[in-house]
Amino acid sequence: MKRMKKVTAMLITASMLFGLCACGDSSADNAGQGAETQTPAQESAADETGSAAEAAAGTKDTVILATSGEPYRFFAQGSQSCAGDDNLALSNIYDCLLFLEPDGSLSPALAESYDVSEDGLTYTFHLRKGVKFHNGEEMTAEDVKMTFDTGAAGPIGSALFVNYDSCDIVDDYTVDIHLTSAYAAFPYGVASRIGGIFCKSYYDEVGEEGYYAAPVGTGPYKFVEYVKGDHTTLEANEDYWRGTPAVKKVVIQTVADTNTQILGLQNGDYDVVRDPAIDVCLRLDDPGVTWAKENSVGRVTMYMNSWKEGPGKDINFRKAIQAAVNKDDVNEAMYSGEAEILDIDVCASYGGCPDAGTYQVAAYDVEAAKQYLADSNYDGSEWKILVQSGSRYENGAKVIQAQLMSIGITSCVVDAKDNASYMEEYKAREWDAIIADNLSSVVDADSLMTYHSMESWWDPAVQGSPRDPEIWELIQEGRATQGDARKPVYAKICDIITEEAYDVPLVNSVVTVAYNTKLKGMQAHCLGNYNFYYYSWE
Amino acid sequence: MSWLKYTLKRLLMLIPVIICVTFILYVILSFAPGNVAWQILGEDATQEQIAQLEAEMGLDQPLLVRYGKYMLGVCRLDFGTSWFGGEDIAKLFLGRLPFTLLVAVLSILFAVALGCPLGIGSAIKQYSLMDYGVSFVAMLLTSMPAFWLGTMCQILFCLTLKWLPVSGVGTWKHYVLPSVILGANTLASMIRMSRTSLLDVIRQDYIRTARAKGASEWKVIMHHAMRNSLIPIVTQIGITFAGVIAGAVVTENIFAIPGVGVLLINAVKARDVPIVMGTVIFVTIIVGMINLVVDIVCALIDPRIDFAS
Amino acid sequence: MSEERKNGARESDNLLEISDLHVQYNTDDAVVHALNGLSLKVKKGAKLGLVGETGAGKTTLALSVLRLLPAGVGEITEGSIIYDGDDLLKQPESFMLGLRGEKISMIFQDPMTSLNPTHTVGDQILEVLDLHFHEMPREEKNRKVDDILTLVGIPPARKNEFPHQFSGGMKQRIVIAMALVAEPELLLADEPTTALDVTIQAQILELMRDLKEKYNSAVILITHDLGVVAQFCDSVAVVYGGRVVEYGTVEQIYAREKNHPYTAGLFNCIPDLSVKAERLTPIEGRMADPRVVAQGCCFAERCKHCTEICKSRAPSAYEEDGHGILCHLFTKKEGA
Repeated sequence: MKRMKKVTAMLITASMLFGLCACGDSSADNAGQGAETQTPAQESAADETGSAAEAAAGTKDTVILATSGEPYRFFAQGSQSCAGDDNLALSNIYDCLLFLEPDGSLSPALAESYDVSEDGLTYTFHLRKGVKFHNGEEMTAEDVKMTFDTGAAGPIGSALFVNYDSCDIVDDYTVDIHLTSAYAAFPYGVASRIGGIFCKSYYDEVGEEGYYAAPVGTGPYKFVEYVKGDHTTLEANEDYWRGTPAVKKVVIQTVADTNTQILGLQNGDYDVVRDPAIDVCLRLDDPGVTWAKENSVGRVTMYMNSWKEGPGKDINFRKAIQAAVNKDDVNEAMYSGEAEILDIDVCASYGGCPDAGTYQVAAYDVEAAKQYLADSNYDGSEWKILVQSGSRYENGAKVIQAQLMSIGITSCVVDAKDNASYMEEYKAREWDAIIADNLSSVVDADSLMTYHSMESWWDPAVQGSPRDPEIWELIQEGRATQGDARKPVYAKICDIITEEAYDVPLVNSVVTVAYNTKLKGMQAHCLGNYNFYYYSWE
Repeated sequence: MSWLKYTLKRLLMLIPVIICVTFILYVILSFAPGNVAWQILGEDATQEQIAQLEAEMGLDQPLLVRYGKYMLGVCRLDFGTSWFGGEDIAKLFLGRLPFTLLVAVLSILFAVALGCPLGIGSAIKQYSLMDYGVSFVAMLLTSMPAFWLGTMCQILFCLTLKWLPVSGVGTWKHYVLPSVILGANTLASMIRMSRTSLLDVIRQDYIRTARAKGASEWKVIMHHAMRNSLIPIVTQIGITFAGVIAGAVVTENIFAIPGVGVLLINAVKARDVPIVMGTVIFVTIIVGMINLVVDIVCALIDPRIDFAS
Repeated sequence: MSEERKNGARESDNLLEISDLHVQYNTDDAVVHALNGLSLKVKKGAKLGLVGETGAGKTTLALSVLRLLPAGVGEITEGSIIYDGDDLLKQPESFMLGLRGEKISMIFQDPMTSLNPTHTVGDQILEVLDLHFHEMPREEKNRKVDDILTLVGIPPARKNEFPHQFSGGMKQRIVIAMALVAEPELLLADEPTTALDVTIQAQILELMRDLKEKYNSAVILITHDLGVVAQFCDSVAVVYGGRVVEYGTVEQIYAREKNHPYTAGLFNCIPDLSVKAERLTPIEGRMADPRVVAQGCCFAERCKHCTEICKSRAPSAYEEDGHGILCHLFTKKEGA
């Protein structure tokens, strides 16, 4: 009798345990199969005594990229917006009319050429013929118009398709894009992540949701699958208009831990690591692994709040800080000294960037800083620098904090917040200073407007008139002008910023990539793009 | 019949627990800073767009209404979809659960298979060199944080010795390091627990009786002492299981295992409430069920425990 | 039992002969001298009562016979224990394993904790047979278990139940069944009735007597209760300070004509219904510190008749007709 009870109890517990596992099994198969993707390199790596990474290059047709942030939105013009992580996939699934080169310049892509009207209000694009989408449809002006109309209406349309008004179809291979007012940097928006041309007929068929689930573009790689939190797989588009890609399969692998990324690269589990920390790269001592860097299109600047009640409202206080910051030390802390120091809040690669020598430079002068501080009405009240916790900017902020302390500003606090809280506080504009990497898809000096705008998403009703009206006038002028004539305009803007000590530009941020030595065609891209099309195995 | 009734009763008792936990969690999440709609749409979205999305997501309604709607959905087994990607929560979770469970179970098996014999050996040879040595190793393991130990092992076993892969899942080799790292802490407590438990049992009178019957020392330990010392050990396993699920987060992060821990942490960071809520509900159920299993196993071992009353 | 094993036996019907046994416990604080030269003889089939206060060394003696002293702590430093011709202190552990439970059984004081809570009662009794009688077929073993259970008054149908399902008295019966199922030659009973109430006590003693008759086992009944000794035993040994201070038949000792002062004191402790008294008469003082080995007589400090010689020299045994007393009072009379 007791035995029967025991047996029954055993069966109940066993079946419960089975139930737990079984309900996960069927869907686990899908996830498991996806996750089981591993290159034969992993097996051969164990046999070699030399660098595992060297041995791993046995696979000639797959590249595995390890990244902490994964792409998950595969349709750029939809209502869900898209970000830099998504661009890993977007820039390979879709082509834009213009292509952003690794050094920040533009080259023809789906548009063979373009013209700009005299008044700068109309851009005429001449489309390439015979380009096919992944579903076989040909790319025509219809698709271009749809892309721009949809994108401009989306959440980031106004930021990237600046001043977009409408798009006219001239003929199957010609479109006219009209702007509400001149914007010299418009081509950069065309080359940005929401400029990837999508297929209108397919969109009409499957709708936005369908497009997210199974995207179709003209790019060198087709979307295969996405397993949340694990990986995204792309496969080569054999009929790509530039030619068949050498690498047949790309796996974008989500690896949260940066140590694991580098170890995996050295071990041959991964072929490319996205954005490794510079100090890790500098210490890499493995013949099978190498790294590259490029000046990014972002600048790391400390923006100071000059409009709210607090120490920052006093120009002397700001000038004291401006003079007290030793940028070399900050560079050392954030990028191990590998970044370029900036004197103005404009990257050298930006369109319209003023030439060196045409603008004022604030000098590093500790004595002057102390003098400014004495002249100010600084009363020891708290002055918070907002940064993202755990980021290199937190390190930079701490160095600045120490530098400020040495001139007598003892109430500087480094406010490091997690991502969501950081964005909330950023929006509320209650910070005294903020250090961030201002990465601009619009590779143009016009991006100065982010912190000096009077028409941005900041709600003027809440804050009054946040910034300098003189600067805003100059920004409009810069937009309307074309070519080299723009440079002096931006020089003037930078001078005002320096005189008023609104910001302390720090460094031009650096994009890094670490990869297997045998992988050719690798290049660090200024916007952090990865163009798998150029890769090939030795 | 009483077994079934007991099981049912325990499962039903999970319901108030789930309600309590989810409500507290919901309240805390709603107070956390960070605007979800803004995060989804990105920095450049306009106020109208944000407001529109919030209305669509129902975020403009009061807390209790939102909570109520969510729980009603749960009763219909509709756990909603992720705010950042739209995947069905239940499918998402169940797809990732096997990985976490596998690592968790393997780590506990490792801890028990290695820890119990070591603990028992220490108890039998109390105060010997082996006893001190094992205690020392146990203390060492407890002191080493998983994230450090994990990376160290990766360097040693993957890079230098090339025995194991660094990360991911796929072959049995992928599961060795994560299980060992996750189990390290549990191993230490298993060693201590088995040792204490056996020492306790050995001092009991009935052990002396067994010896007086002429049973050899081996028989005394294996036949008489084991069953009695197992009871606190099994209970300990139940207690550590919940902790192991929590510890899985770190391990999954380091070894890039697509499990539940990472899902939860990323969802909390992104304020993806449906994922957080759904995950917590599922994990509560699992932990509850594991504890139930543990209690049943205890009752099987110890005849003094009887559910009929 | 071969002839060779009988070598060394002094008297052929002495089942157990303990000579000059010294046992100590090596604790962290100090060395505790539990037995200081204890000597004892037990004949086959005898019923010996071992009497003394708590801490006198009675349990230590029983454990020493079976060599079940706590490992590492308990140590037998001197003496010999000769059982049926073999000096148990010189035998290997495998010999002892064969002895325990089969030839010499022991029952312990507290029945509530003496049984393994996770094994059935029947299994625990069966185990004794499994350990010692490998060739016995299963059915016979089961039959023996049933028989012994019936004998101790437990329905055999209950043999698949667990100890917690029985009362204290029944548990003790089970313990006795476990001890006797192999039909041992010597049973060591360490205060088997102390934890039970008086009525059960009587039943248990009755049971033990019956079983002893049936199997003709020798019994050493350890107790502090003189009444129990009178009921059950034939001979008595009084233990104090790790030594036997008086031994003899029940009649000799209970006659109260000649007694060791300690024994006399024990008898005086028992209240007498016929005499009206306001206070009990205990034995003065407390038991000597076992960490110190006494120079002279171990009872000297508490003895009413203590003299100088008692404090300085240990007394030797005075024996008359099988009645032995370890006291200077009596040896002086002998003139030795």
